Amino acid sequence: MVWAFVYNPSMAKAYQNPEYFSTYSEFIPNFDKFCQAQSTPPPVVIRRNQLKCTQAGFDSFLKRHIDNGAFKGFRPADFVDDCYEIDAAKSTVGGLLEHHVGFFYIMGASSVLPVMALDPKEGEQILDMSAAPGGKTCLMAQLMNDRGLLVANEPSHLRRRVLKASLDRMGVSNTFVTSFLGEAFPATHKFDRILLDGPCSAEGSLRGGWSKSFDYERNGEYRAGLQRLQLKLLKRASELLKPGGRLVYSTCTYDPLENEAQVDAILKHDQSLSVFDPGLVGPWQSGLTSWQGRHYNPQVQQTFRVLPHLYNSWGFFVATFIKQ
Amino acid sequence: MLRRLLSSEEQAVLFKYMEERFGLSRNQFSQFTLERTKRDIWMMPADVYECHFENFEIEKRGLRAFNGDKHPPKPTSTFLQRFGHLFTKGFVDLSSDELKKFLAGEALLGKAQGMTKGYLLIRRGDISIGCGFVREGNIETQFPLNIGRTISKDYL
Repeated sequence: MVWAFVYNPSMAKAYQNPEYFSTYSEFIPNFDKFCQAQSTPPPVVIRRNQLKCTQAGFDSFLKRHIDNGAFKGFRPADFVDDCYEIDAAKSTVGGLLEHHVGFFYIMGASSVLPVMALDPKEGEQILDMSAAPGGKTCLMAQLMNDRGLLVANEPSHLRRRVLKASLDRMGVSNTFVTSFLGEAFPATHKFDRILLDGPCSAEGSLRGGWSKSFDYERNGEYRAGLQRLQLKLLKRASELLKPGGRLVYSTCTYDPLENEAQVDAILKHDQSLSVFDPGLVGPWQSGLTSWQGRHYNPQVQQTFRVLPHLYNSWGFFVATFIKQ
Repeated sequence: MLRRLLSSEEQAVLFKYMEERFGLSRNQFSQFTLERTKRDIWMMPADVYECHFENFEIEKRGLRAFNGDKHPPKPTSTFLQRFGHLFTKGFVDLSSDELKKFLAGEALLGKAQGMTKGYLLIRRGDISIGCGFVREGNIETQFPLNIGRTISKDYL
């Protein structure tokens, strides 16, 4: 889940103070570098839409905008396919004609990783439980070659409008859009794969910015509610998964209570689930086996964390489960 | 939303029109099923159409391909942008200045001399953009103005 940003350099200063993150210093390596990276915006990354744009067409698009001065440069993003870091303002890239007709989608490189871990296949039935704004959904549809069935669920009316606009812009046809609360998604149908990129405190996606909706004060009640919701969503996702199916739980936050603790809790709740390593190559950090005196199931070592000073993108956490 | 499969007669009429106007063949869409709602025609892979869920309210299903209450049906921007590269006729390539006018909602006078009245695809190079309407050799924009306004005119 990605929150709306309002970039305000003067207000960002308080957030750039490492104090907020100091509780994480014991598990984040090179903590000073992490704080530096966290205080700078991530690069603008675009992902080619294979449903509309061939590699040759995309190469021509990149060259055209180097020639006309829209882009100062570009380079392929590391460890993810079809993604390019663009040296240009996000507003410039977002205003391009090619963006409006769905040649590409602007998304953080690390946002691609949960979909790579899910590994969707053509012809399968797949559920995206918290689908808005739709970047991961569209990528899944693309990897499914726009066949099979992709259910894109989003309970928020406003965010669902954005989701539907994304699906239209990217030209996706294999999708149902639904509006259920994820934790109450009807259990009448089971899926081959499920992505739960659930609501979270969004510490990772705040990189270089300031958001008026962010919980800077670490409100205990709010955080506890969020964690309860995450576990409810995980429980429902597990119920909706076919035997042999794959579930990916991801967040864009660093808080172990929203990450490893949730993985530990769902493993205790549902012993048919096990964590496995999807084998994605990159400078990721393994999941934590303990935090603040709590010890987690050793399987959490097969989850991974994305840290912005090790991989120049938003912070992320990804756990991949298989159901027996 | 009430939906029904497009009848084989309706499909035949639609594809005859698409072939005559845009040079599209039915075979290019063999993976898709067409459904009609009160106003529109939607397309989706057969797997999606055949999927039935109990107690399951679906807000959007497939890709809205045609505005079906027009005669002939008007292809949507979503359809044109996805499949425009397959068109062999019924399209026009605009220059940068012409595209600026099109996106601003202005008619392109004399740009479609010799073309019969009806819808056409607007392209800029290899980019399929949206729908125009040919009337007496002029092209009227059918592209949503609110989207046209948000497109940067600096790099067309």
